[in-house]
Amino acid sequence: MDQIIVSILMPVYNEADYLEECLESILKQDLITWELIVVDDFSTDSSWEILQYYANKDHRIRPLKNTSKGIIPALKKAFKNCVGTYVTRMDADDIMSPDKLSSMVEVLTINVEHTIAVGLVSYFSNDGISDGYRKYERWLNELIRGSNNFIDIYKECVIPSPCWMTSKYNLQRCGGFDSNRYPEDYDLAFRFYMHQCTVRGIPKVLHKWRDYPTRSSRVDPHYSDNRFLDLKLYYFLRKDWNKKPLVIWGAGKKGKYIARNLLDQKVNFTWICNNPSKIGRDIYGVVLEDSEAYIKSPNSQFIIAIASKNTSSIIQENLDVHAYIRNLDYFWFC
Amino acid sequence: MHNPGTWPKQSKMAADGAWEQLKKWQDELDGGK
Repeated sequence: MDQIIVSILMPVYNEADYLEECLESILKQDLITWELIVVDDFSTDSSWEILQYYANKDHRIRPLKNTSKGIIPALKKAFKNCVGTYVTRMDADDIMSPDKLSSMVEVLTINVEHTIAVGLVSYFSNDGISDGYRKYERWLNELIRGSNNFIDIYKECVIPSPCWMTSKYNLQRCGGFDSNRYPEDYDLAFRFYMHQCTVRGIPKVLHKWRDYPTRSSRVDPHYSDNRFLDLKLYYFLRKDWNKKPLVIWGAGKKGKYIARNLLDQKVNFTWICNNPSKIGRDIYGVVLEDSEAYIKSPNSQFIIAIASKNTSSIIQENLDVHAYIRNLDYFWFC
Repeated sequence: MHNPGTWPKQSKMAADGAWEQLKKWQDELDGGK
């Protein structure tokens, strides 16, 4: 195992407050043969000086400066310069468990070449973790424990961005970081799905994910809800839409965004909902129909954009009664 | 570079900090496919 080089790709932007803790966790890895390709994305704090200090202490830490602003250009640069047989990502404000790299390498060496090793994650914060993030953590870890992440691919990003590893060959096969679509981590998860990779979950926490009010996924518009929906539709129309009539189920905020997006792409659809006060209303030139009446109609594909837990349960029962098959006949987008 | 037979040499070069040399050799190996 010690003959396999792991490349850790890590973009950095103004992470001086957390960077040392992150680097120390990498230096404590029980796997020795790694390189950290860390790309400074035009930081204005002392991140670059910290990286230089650590690089002088350990030659495996290899800092580069980004030449074009952004996390995707930083990842491209890191990937282009890496030499590892296996590749993983790391965030500069997070912490690895000491056995993170070795645990993932162990899984990859005994599985087929299109495998993605994924470990459990745990959020931490000085100010406490919100219910939303805990819920996401529970949902994600449950998928990882079952190694069935792709079953929920249209709900949220099913691969934790800094806690996966695959072979460089496989990552190249899936397009590496060539795509310019954000959120880049969700886009990569979709490409792993499109290229029929196999997820192997590791049932232990390998990564501590730091949460704080100014982290990118909270404030950067690249990670807004609408960008997620754009991506879901982009891949759905290419991978899972079998050209049957499309049905959007739900006319809330997300349902409306999906409808607008499909109209812009000139993709025809029927729009249904459960809410009696909305049935019959004209939104964007499309009249909302009653879901009860419509669901009996076979030969459609449903995009379900309903977040409410109670309504979701009712819809699921309804779909089961009609023997619709998940991820073939219907797709949960929330 | 994906040939496991080359991994011991790659690993040795990495341990020696010969990153540039290793990258160049990998590019030659990939080019020779």
